[in-house]
Amino acid sequence: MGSYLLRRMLIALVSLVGVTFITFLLIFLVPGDPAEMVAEARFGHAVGDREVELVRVMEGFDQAIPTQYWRWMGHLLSLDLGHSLINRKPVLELIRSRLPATLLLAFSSLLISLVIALPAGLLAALRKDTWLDTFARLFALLGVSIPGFWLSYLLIIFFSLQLKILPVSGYGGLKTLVMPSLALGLGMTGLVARLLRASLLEVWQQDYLRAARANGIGERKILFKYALKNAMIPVVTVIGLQLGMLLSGTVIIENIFGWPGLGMLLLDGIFNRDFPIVQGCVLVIAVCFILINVAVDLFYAWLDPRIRWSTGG
Amino acid sequence: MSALLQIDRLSVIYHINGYALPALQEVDLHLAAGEKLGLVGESGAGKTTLAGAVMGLLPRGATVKGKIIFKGKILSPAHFARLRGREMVLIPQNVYNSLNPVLSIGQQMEDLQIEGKIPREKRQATMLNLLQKVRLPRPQAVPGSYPHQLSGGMKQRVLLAMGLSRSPSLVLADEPTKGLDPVRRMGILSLVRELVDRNGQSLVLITHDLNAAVYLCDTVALMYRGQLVEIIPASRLLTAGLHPYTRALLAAAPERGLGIPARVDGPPSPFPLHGCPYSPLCELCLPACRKEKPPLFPVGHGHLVRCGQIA
Repeated sequence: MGSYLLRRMLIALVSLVGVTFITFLLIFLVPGDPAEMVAEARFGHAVGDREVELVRVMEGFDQAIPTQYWRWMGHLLSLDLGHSLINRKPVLELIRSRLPATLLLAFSSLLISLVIALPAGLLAALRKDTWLDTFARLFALLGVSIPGFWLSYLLIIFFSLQLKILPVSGYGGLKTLVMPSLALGLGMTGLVARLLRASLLEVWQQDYLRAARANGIGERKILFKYALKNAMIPVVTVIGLQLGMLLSGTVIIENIFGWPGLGMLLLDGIFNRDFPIVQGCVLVIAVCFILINVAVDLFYAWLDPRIRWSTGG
Repeated sequence: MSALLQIDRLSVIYHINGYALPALQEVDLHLAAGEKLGLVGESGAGKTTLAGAVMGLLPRGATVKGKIIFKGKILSPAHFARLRGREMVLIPQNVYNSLNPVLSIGQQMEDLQIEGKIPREKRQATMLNLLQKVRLPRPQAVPGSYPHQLSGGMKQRVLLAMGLSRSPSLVLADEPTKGLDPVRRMGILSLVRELVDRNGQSLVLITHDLNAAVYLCDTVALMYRGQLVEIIPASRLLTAGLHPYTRALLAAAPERGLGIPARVDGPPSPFPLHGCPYSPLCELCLPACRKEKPPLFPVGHGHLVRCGQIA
């Protein structure tokens, strides 16, 4: 158990360092001279070469990339992500003010999709080949296939314009949370429901369930203790991966619903060529992604003792 | 001896892709309390189906005809859930996949002690006692381990301990030594015999192995294509087996020179719906054998054989 934990943590740490490096390189990967971008932001549009060169030396853009990275990492470790080029506010502060909205959206999407997907997958497997199963599978297929941005507009047309029961956009209160969470979570709902159904149907054939029945274990216990824990193993993996996708999905959904989260901050940053913001947002999203994966790995080990005790691989 | 289990004209039909596949055809069987019966036959003979029917564990969609009478009561689907684990138990054949991989042995064994609220220490003691009975090395370490940490032989012993934990009066063992090293087989078989004898339980041993059946059982029933072809006291099997199929099996044993009967090659032709099930392969087959299914002829000493040419 200990070695498994340690190995996962180490992998996460290596990924983290990699992420900082790639995030740092973002400035150099976008077209244009970073010194010019900063100068334009500071001195207005018609900047001369003098100003650009001044900024280049002041900000250290003239130094070698490893040196720059080293310095940038130094700032990062003291939690300094730089300042926005537009409004001069510290990036960390901006992110901190936006992060709760995004987390709220992501977790309510997760909650909605699990609340729908788990019972749906379970029922579909138990009532295989009935109308209920067909309906659940159709719903799941639609969920996987419909893109979130399109669903967003359908939801807006239906709930806001036709029924007039939910606000078109905005942030605050349960009412504003419903549509973005649905739009963001539906793809995951479909995927998880389908996977749980398939996984449970496979576990259902296993000898250990027959053996448990032969020993007189009741059907309820067979399902919830003997079958479900096995069936959840692949499902947990996918939920973890999908959670990461949820975070990136927020970029589009937040902009549709005017949700003041990280995604909106990131997109604004991109449009304004405000690269400290972009770097900061990408870094935070990537860190969240890695943390989620570590959490999933731990949960996975709890579910499957074969992983917990394995020493190799 | 009074009958613990009586099977009356039991037929089971599987429906696969629109075909009706008769897995068992009018099987009659009688098992006294404390009797040990060996069920021998090749794969597809219906041995596991018979055990499944007795336990109420057949796959969905199987058609069952006939009666299963257990302790004087005709079993209906409602009975099985109450009887399984308490009155009758099936020791499964696939050792490697019959324990739940994500639950510890202790968790799985504790689930079998559900009657009433038993204090924790008492449950632990019962468990340890069972594990000792099946002679597991270091029994105190077993409840905390997971199936993948045990060897095949250890798993089989755990499955035995689980099956016997509530002292059922009927134990069905479906090839309990399948997949184990030959060295381990004898140990498991003698353990099964010892435990069953000690508690006076009845045993149905399903096996391919004639010697195992002779070693462990009082009576041996030979099956071929869903039918009983011979029922014989175990002590007489090796010397006085009569049915042509039984004789082919005996001749095919390694210690008798792996004799392969002339007509046993190739996949068997479709089930003969009439006549003797063995007629397509039988050396003694006469035209009459293909027309009418022979009954089980008694030939003395509780020995029955389904062959008109021999009886």
